[in-house]
Amino acid sequence: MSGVYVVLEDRNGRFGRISFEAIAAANIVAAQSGSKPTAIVIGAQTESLATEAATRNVGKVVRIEHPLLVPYTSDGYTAALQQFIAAESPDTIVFPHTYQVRDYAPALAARLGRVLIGDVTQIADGPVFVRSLMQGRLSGSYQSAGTPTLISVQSGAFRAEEAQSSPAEITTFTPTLEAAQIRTKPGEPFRGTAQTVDLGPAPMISPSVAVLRKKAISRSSRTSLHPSAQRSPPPVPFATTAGSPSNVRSDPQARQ
Amino acid sequence: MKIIVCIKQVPERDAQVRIDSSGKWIEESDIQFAMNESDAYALEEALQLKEKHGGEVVVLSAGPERAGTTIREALAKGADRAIQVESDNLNTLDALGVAQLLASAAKQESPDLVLTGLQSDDLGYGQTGVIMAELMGLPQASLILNVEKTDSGITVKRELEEGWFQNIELPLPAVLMIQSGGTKLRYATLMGIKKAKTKELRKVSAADLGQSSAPSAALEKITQPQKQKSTQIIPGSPKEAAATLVEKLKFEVRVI
Repeated sequence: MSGVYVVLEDRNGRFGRISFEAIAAANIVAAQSGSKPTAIVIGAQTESLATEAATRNVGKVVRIEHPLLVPYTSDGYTAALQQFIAAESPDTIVFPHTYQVRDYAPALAARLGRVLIGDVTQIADGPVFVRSLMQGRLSGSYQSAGTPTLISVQSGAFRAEEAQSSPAEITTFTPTLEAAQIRTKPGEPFRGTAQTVDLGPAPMISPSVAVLRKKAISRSSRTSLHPSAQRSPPPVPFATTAGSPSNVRSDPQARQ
Repeated sequence: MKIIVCIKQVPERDAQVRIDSSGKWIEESDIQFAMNESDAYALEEALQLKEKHGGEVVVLSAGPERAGTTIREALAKGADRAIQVESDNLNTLDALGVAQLLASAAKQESPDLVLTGLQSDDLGYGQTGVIMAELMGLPQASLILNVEKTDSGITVKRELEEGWFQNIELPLPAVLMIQSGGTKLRYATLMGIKKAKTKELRKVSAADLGQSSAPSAALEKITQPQKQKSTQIIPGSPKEAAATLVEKLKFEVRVI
């Protein structure tokens, strides 16, 4: 079998919007050969996710299921998808350009002797895949030589597929995985709040960060005789969870 | 611990890039080059690990002769020696082709740890480290902010999306892709700059490392992103016009 496949990403039991955008991109590629894409859902218990994916304008849904696929590991996902690709021989595989995809899709592509065309923003006839270069100062047009073609699509670049009324067929693929293949041991995800104050239980939050910064400047100018201290106010003594340093630090997806 | 740090020389961030006559690359003659930002963080992480645990930091870089200045900068900051894979046509290779060269050179050193930056500021593929791990048969982790050596290997702090983080345990040897901003970069000292002139810089030709595979994705052309100014009058009731405006800002201008 061949065709266009799109890998959807499970985010705590739900799909992020970028997965539906990836389906839209897969539909653009599939339309050039007059077909519909097949959605791939990966995990240990994917029934409800597959049911939702089946309503999102896809021709078919495949559940790649194995207990070792949770929690996510690059080794597990790469091995499972490699086996699936060997069985199905797809022409094109579309991924959402997420942190997780960046972690395993290049390895999967290399294992297939291919390369991932990452962070695609446009798809033209050919298909030709457009992505940013030089941090957005230039655009590059790429074409794949041979199959399968692996691409990942940038968040927000394609209009997400809305739910349709008629659900697609769902099948299951069970890869052969062994614990020894998983070389990394991931811990539980945690919020980067170690240096911040949890404002969740607070009935009211006041004063604003701007007021605190103003006070800090005022305090600094009173206590420091060095002129540079007045030009550079000390950091605000706390950050909200919504604007913690980890959140506002440079985002690799945004920097492309 | 023997650590290899892969470093790329890229155009400076504020360089005015112009497309060359081939339409497939940029004019290099009139721009300045610098060390890729996330590679500088990878180097810093390596130097800090060496200071804590001893060992050796070896810089590995592929590029034309001009890349030597960036390699010397890394040596001045504290790397012990360097290997330069000389090639004038790296931009004709895809991410797999470049990673094949680097992996081949790195394998000869039998390192405990290979560090790369998360992605380059020019092509922005963000795949070299992941592919190198695949080619070298090593476990890997990407988006790494911090590395701690343990009795059984290393524990790394990985950045996830939306302000989440995760600790991952890996055995050694391993490959890590370092995220920018995880630590503070050091400057080269005058003594370091002086010493760098006498440190070993071994040059190997790309041909000596074996043939890179033909690109499976070709960069067909580079273009300037389209910039246009236009005025549109959105017809309809305020409610309809607002809905149309949101649609345009989301999917045409892509600013919300």
